[in-house]
Amino acid sequence: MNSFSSQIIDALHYAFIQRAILAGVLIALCCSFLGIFLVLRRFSLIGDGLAHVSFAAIALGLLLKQSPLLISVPIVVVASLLIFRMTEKSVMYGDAAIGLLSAVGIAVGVTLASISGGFNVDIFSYLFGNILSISKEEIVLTVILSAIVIFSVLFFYHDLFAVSFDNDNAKVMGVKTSRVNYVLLMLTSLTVVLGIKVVGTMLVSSLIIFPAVSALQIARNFKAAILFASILAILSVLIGIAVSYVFDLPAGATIVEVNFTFFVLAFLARRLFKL
Amino acid sequence: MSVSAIKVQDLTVFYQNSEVLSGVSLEIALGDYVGIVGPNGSGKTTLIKSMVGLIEPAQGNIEILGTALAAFTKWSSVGYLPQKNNVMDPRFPANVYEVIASGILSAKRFPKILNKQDQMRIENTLEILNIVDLRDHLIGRLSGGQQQRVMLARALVNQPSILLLDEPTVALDPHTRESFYTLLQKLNKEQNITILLVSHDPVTVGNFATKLLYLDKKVIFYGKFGEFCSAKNMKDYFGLEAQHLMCHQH
Repeated sequence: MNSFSSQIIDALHYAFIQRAILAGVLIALCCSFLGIFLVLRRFSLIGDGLAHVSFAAIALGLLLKQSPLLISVPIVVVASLLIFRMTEKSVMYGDAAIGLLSAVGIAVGVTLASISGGFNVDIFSYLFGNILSISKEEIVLTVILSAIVIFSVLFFYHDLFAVSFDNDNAKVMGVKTSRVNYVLLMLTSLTVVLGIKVVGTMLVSSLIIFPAVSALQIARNFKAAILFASILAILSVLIGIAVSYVFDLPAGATIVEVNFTFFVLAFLARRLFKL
Repeated sequence: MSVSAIKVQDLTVFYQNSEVLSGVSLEIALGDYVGIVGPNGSGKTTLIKSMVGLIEPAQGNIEILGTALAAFTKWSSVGYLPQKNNVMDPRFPANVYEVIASGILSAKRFPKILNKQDQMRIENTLEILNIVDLRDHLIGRLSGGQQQRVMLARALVNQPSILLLDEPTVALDPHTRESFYTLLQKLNKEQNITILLVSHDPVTVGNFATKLLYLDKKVIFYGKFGEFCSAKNMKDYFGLEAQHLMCHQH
């Protein structure tokens, strides 16, 4: 145990660990804030769909030798708007729209990766995440985008609550529901792109879903749900980074496994203490 | 000339190419308590949803408090309680206080913060609806009757001048239903709130409402109960017994 803690304390001196912690905490906050609203609105899987679209964008970025994350932002935003418009205009069900764009994203990504010389280390780091390799430029991007997401959620908090509780009634009460829904999707798009660096396109939706569903097991009011989700998300990232560093495990997968452990504990706590 | 609570002119609504409402015109005065009845698919819910802007009509105009619906912004003057089709999600993590507060906060501009006056209004509403003890309870864990009281509290917390209720007592037992209607009658009489109540039960409407709107895609009857009771053709719609029962109890 002493060895574990001393290794962690030593690791804190490394710049790459400091960057990983800063980025991880900010992204965890974004995911947990949005996760509660997305889960309650039965939109959990949109993170998965957008992550698959971002795979195509990342492959395009690598092919063009441009920043994959920067290229992903506009493409994922457009994809999220497409999903929303198709659902809103009753062109198709929401889950079908997500499934459709998700499949197209993977297909285009595989094709572009093949054109650019097949699957290499770069592609794999975006598929499964590698927060320990986050660069200074990516940190700047993470801080800016996270600040936008966090302040926007705080600004629209009451409208997001009203829309999540009852969309029609919120509209009658004067909430601009369409605007709020668009804001939620924009912020989700930004968060998905940010989360790719932490756990990769394959696992990014877990960062959004796990803290939210764990918090929903134990929260007795809405603010508590947001608070619990934030604490669990931050702890998952910190513990995940520490364990993966000490035991030389992949950080993204470890973070997801810690999240799953928290979910099991929250589920048991709800059953045992009749929360 | 006094302003109407709601004025509907020649309202026609289609749903998937079939006409749900056809040329509906009516005027509801401030302080009226209108019971809306009619058979299934007669357009009762469509009419209420059109009035609050949730359904786009194919034709016609709606005015709320003298302002055209498209230009109407004072939504805090309107309380709306939608039809309750199923039990609320028991996992939704909001307590009663948060749900009622959202009624005030949704109508506010930024920054959306509850001031002391807002907090007092919430406390008063909790008391009026007799749900003070439930304030910290999760909304999804309450009984159907308690949930409906909370939703009514949210609709009332802004002290609206118009209240639109779409079959609000479907999930309630007979005793809770009776006390719910008594409460609405009290709000109408003491606070002069205009009430539009959609109901499947014309007898109950006859007990409490002051006016009746019988709808069957178009307006079959709209007027005071006294007029309804003397209208001979109404027995064709309600049956003689129901008409007598409604008129006798009113």
